[in-house]
Amino acid sequence: MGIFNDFKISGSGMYAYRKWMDALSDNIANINTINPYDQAAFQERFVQVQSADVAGSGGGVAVTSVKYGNGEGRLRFDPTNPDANDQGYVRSPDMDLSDQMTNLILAQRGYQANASAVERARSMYEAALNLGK
Amino acid sequence: MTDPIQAAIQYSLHGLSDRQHTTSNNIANIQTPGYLAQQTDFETSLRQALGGGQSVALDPTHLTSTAETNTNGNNVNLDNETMTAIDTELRYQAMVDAMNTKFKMLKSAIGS
Amino acid sequence: MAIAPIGGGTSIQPIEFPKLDSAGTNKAEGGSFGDKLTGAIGDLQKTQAKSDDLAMQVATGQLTDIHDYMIAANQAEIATQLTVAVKNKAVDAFNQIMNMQV
Repeated sequence: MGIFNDFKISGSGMYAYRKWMDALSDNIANINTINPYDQAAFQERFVQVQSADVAGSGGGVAVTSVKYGNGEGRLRFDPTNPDANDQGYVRSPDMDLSDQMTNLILAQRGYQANASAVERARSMYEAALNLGK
Repeated sequence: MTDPIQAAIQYSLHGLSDRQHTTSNNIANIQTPGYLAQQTDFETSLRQALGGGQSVALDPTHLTSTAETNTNGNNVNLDNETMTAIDTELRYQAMVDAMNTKFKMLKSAIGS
Repeated sequence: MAIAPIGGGTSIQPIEFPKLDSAGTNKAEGGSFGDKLTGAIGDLQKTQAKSDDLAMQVATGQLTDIHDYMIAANQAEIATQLTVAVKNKAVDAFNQIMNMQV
């Protein structure tokens, strides 16, 4: 299907932003996950993307991998926590909720932008199909 | 009338409506555990028939998608299916228009 | 400070319109009307063949610009109708001549 290339390009964009949204939802759900000192903290999920030629359409973006962030996390002093070690430290994730929420808005806007690009391309093609009518 | 162009247009209309059916089926099964997305391919057989010059009975083939599956074994990609649906719809319109053009030209030659 | 006049005094050349023959086309004079009709039918076949070829490219999903196909299809349709109209007029004219009292 090399004919309506714009749809493949925008489709790859929508998929990439959706993957990012999934990763951000995972991060936000685990923003307060406390792990014991001798275990790794919850690692922030990052989605790596790269511009690629999607299925011969001449453009688009591909999700290359999902990377995990810092496993050391932040040490929090909380001796009342049953998971705390002898010094009273537990590990919390090295993430900020404000960053994650900002990224969530960016991911949503990106998804909407790609969806509206699809709609515009579609009305252009329909206008071409109505030539001579 | 065995105009090969008309036969090719008719086959592509058949293949496109088959693809529409496959896409709707995939979207309906987007949460089904273990479901693998199906794809319709009629372009390959059409290209072979147009290049080869033999008249063969053409049938669209169905392939299973080899995309990676998510945690419940489902590998339907909603964005791909949506794009395929829009693409199929527009190409169907183009093929219907092609058939109409053929008929109009024949009718204007006859009706004169 | 004196302003120098616009030099040269070159006059503006009149526009040359391209010369068209009485039919308004660039075809050479000569050749009977039958030849012209045959030529027009040959062009029509070329236009129809181009429209068919682009339709096949759309069917196999190889064409990148759908407007190319739509323009070619419309051109073929219009060329067909034009050729048919010219043929009808020619036949009418022939019949009129044949019906003239000698």
